[in-house]
Amino acid sequence: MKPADNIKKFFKNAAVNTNPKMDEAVLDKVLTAHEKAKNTRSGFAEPTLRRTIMKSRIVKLAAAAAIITAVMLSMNLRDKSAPSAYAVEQTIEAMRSINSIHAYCTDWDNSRGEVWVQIDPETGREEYHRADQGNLLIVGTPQATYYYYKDENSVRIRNEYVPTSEVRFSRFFEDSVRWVQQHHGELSVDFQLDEELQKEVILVHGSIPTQGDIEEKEFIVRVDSQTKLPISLEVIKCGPGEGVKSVDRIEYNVTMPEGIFEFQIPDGAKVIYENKDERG
Amino acid sequence: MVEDRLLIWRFKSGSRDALRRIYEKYKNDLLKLAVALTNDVHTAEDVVQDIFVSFAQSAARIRPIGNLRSYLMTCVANRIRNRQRDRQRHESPGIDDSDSVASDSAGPEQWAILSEELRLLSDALAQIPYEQREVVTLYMQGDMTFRQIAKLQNASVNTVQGRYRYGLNKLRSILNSEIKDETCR
Repeated sequence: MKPADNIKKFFKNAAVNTNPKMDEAVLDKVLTAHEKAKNTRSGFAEPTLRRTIMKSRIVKLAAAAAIITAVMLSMNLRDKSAPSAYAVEQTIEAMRSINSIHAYCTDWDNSRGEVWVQIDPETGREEYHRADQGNLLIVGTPQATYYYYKDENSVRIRNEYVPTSEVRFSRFFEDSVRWVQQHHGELSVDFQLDEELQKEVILVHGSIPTQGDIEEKEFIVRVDSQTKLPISLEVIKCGPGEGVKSVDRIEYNVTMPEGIFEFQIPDGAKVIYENKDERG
Repeated sequence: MVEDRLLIWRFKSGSRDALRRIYEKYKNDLLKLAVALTNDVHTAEDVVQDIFVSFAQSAARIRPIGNLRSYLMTCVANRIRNRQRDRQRHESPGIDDSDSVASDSAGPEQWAILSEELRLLSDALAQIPYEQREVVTLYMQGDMTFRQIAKLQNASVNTVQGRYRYGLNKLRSILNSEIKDETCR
């Protein structure tokens, strides 16, 4: 039998063992690091090293901006690798100079999608967008918004610009913070070493309790500790059909591919105009 | 899987035994992966040791979701990739330039003891481009899906599948010729 004929078997048979003496030495080092981390951060009894910066009952909407500015989170940790300070306002400020966004999303049915948004940096308002997620392609322009249902080969057209979400995409962080305050929620900040990026990232955790018609919501935004821009968003809890499950990667101020916001009605597609004045 | 989740919960609560169990359970797999990717026992040992130390320090941040083995495997692959990038940046010999699987005999200071098959495999893997080597190794040994590898390599699934096919073909021919050579000796 030639082992090379079956690479998988080769991988299976290729084994490694460890020198018991060195094994103990490495384990000892690992356990010491564990003990040190336990003593440095009191995060073991409480699983996260989260610092609550806003409690719903004490936050008044009028004072919100002042509170955000004032609450500079000083990390008094002995761990020197941790960033020294972070204020939510830094991300709000960083996002105000954005003129375009390219993001990859995952929906609740695990379908993957891609979003392109062109923004007016002055107002943070979207000017154009293209969202291609699973069965649905949406192209928003100042004149019209097109919804193309791929499986039905049908297009729905509204003669107005319909934004990608309730919050401004380019200011989603700012709008989400305000929204959490308005709904008496909580916002907290944590730090995490990201193994993939090999650097510390800031985790901003927001939540609001169930109230009236609004269901309980919870999300985590991962923020780049250098640029202070969000790099991903994970929705942990929300009402059915509300938004996407996660925004896995966000790129800022990207060059838009030519024609990305142009929409051609596909051959043979059924077209439905939603606005009376557009009906043929 | 369930055992892993329990281990992570116990580890997050500060249990040394849970950490010891995780170490015992995965050290060989991680060493094998690191050797296959680097073709250098000492680098592989350093990487795996670093990963366990970082892991030990991250109890407060780890979340008990997903697959612990895949998580640790991804950490190893990322760490090696970063080391390789750093080395290339400093223009010193990279992983691809290493001559062979480090020292032939396990000295008193050597942690990993390799089987002959692993030596052969590691030498053969070192002869294929790094990205193909990474795909073949993570797929074959890491039990990762093409989708997971694509995410790690920041490439499309099609590209990753292509790398797998090319890598596998080259690896097969290298191993075949090495076996023929050994038979002729």
